[in-house]
Amino acid sequence: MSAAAEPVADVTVDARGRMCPAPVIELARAARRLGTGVVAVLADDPAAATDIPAWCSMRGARLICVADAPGARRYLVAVG
Amino acid sequence: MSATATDGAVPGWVDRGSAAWRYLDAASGLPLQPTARTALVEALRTGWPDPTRRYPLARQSRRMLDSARHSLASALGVAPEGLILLGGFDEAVATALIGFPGRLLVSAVEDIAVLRTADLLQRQGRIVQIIDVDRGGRIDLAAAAAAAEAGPCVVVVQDVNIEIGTRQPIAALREAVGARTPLVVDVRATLGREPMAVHWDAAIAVPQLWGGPPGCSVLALRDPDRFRPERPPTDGQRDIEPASPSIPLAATAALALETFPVDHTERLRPLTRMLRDTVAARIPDSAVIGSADSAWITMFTFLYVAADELIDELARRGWSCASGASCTSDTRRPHHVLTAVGASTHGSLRVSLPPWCDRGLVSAFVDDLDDVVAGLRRDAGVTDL
Repeated sequence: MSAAAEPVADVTVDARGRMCPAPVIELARAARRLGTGVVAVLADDPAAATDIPAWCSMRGARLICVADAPGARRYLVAVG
Repeated sequence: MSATATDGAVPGWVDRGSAAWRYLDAASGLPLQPTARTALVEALRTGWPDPTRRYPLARQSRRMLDSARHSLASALGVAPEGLILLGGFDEAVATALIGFPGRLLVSAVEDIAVLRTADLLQRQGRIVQIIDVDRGGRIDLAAAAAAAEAGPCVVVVQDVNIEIGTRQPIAALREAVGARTPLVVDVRATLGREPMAVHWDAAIAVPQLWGGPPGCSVLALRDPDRFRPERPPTDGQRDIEPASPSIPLAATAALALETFPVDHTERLRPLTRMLRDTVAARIPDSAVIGSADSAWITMFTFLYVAADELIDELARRGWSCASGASCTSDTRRPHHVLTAVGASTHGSLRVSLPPWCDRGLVSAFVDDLDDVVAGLRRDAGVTDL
């Protein structure tokens, strides 16, 4: 299953330039609007690297992968 | 409200209804105990002469120093010769880390003073290795063992973490790193309170944590001969200690430890349990960080709440507590303890109950906390998330 291609995000949240807890709040808002699917979060707040996985485990979501993006990191999260 | 047995734990320590009554940051230090206040003034009056002098006036301070040293050494379980009286916590940390040679193995959840000292020593050429912890905050014993296999080193760890209350398996750590590896244990969260680790070569304690005076710390050594501090030699007798420890502070620290409530843990553990249970039952999207072994320290996290706003709102209602390890606006960096255990780095709140705490205080706090968290979430528009 790990060899599968990276899923395409249904929605992308741009939280660049925003500090904790904003990236997690934006992720939660997007997850709520989407219901079930994949949310991509762009964040440059270093705290997001801990906060997003922590949110996933508190909310039963799954962090699919983290990748470098221009000036930020891109977190891909399966929700719902 | 009538006085109860609980505020008589140490009569007159803090007045019920005063601002200090709602102080829930006991892990940052306590006010001086009332008997210690009196003793400090007396010690300043009589304990001023240089204890190394031969004239009769010096006898009083000599006796005072010897007695404080005996009392503190006995509480820590070392010989008086192994007791070093120092300034603040940072000085004790630096003295301990410099005094044991070899690579420095530091757990990822140590105090920032330990990490900063390790960082400085690393820049001076010392090898430093951070040992990871699990999600409960417990040190990776296999990693510590592997690091110790690689050559002479010294390990630095808290027996109970003062931010998240996790108890480290110190006896198992001793097994893992071997008897020859010096173990420096920060016992601030346990001495006088909870069962303290015993398998150490050096222990660091801070009197202000038990209602002793601020500005002093204690470094206890099992075997002073193994210890090699870098400091100018003194008169020859006790080269491991600075030449002039503060006798009044030492005497007061020793007295305060003797008069610290012996039933502290038995009284506070049920209150801490009540705090955790009522927060979990009433406040949605909250969690306890770490493995919560401590009888008096709890680190909470509240989703979508900014820690400094939480602290400020609680302060407006008269509560003094710390964001503990949270990333706050003044640092803007996720705190190493929260990162190390993979916890949410925003909205963290450390509640460390003071010895005068009672059920009424806990329930009044949870009422306000519930209200404050709900209000902040409403303001941020995150109530339905």
